[in-house]
Amino acid sequence: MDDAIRTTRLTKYYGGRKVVDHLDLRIPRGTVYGLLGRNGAGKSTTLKMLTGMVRPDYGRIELLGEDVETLAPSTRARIAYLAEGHPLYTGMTIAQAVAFTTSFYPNADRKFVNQILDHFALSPKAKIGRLSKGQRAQVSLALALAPDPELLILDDPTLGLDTNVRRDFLESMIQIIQRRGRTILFSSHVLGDVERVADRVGVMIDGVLRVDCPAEQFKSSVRKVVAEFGYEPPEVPPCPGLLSDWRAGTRRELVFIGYGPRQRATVEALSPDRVEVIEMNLEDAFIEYTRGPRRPLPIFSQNQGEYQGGQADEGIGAQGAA
Amino acid sequence: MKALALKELREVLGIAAIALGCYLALAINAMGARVFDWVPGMPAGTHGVPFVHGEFTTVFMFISVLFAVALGFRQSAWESARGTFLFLLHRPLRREAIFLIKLTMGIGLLLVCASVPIVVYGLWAAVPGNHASPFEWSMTASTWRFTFLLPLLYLGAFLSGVRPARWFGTRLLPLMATILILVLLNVMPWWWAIGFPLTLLLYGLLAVNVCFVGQVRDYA
Repeated sequence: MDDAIRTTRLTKYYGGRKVVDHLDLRIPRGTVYGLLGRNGAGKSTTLKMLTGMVRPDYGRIELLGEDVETLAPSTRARIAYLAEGHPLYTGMTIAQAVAFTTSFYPNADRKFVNQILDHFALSPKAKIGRLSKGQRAQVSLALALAPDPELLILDDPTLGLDTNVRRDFLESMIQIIQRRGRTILFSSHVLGDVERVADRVGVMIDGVLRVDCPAEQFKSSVRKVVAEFGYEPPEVPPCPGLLSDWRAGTRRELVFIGYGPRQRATVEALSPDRVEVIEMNLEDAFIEYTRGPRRPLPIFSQNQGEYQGGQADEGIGAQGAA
Repeated sequence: MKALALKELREVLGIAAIALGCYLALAINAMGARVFDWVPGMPAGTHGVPFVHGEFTTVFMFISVLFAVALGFRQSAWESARGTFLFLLHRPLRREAIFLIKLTMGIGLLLVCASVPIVVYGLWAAVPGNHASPFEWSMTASTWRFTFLLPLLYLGAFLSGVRPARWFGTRLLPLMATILILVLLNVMPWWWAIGFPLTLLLYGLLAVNVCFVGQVRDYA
């Protein structure tokens, strides 16, 4: 399967700070990819580099098989980009914005755009400056879909939207995804959204892509183990895959990546009264994976879902640590 | 391309309307109507040779400088500040083409609006009996020359608006430089031999610079 997006050692500095660090990302056509990360992790910069809005200091980007540096207008026409905050011309009415946008695309489907606007109950006469954030997001989505793009790059498209509007927006996105072969890359802070629509996730931490695997695999790899002791819990010895270790009264809460026989043996060696292994949803897994004191994080592999002992370059799904 | 040109026109229509209103008020007052006497610095009729004596040229320059700078910033810094460059520059058009269309519309509008008061006042001055002094169209030459220099100021403001800089002072460097160049070119002798080609060359250099900066800067 060929890739819709392929980056090679993509790096960007702002001042002396490395915000994206040797990013090697491959997104096959037809994939819905959710890019996650805390604020300042490098998600927006990555998406801006992909669309040519920010120039990388190092590395290469290919979109739909073409180098972004020399992306032909005809290829750009096959790519939709929704920037964070949905910047639109506030002085225009929706109808003017549609006319303006579609004029750049000979094959733009105005009827389809009007159907989407109708679906969102947006009047073409409404001034964009007077729309709510949610309505602006809806207009942006409608405009982005006008040329029937093969690749959609969405930078936190549901940011600032209330629950209902977000749900409505996502439902629309799910419908859009139904079209075969369409690739969607989106960043988000709302893990529930990602869980609903993404079939693959990437987690960026300090500019490094630490996780790159199917969403299900990420969820199933992170496990919380609660060990009840009935007395002051003993210290946990170093163990591969141990992400965090919290003491709460007579309990120890341990979070592992790749909870396997070795990890189980480590916990059982502590002789707890009771052990409970808790499965996590994407949001909890993400929080456990990214929070806590900043220290080198373990990598897990796409194929094995197994801890790699921090050997970054060995990780198949994710790229190496700097 | 047509849609982009129309969008640019629509966006600067407000600034252009204000400038045109000021220009017309200036011309009307200079023609002796004295409707806008309450505006500070406004010439009250024509006392002397039109375009040579009186405050018409001074007030014209003042309005024009403000207009050119406002127009330049409106088309560049405004888009940067509102994030709409991210929307615009993703359209399937070469980035240089987008910036050149912006510049063409801006310069065109600037020259058309600035020409209006010169033509209106000149036509009035050319009618015998309207004022007690001689008039030849050649007397408008210095005002036309200044008008021809205005795009330099516009391009300087545009470049300042589109150019990223760590702080506002250094961002304004292109504008400051073009103000200095405009003053020098305006008093340059052998205008047609030196000043005119030099101005054209500077138009080109500044336009190329705008396109280059627009191409390589980060829209972060």
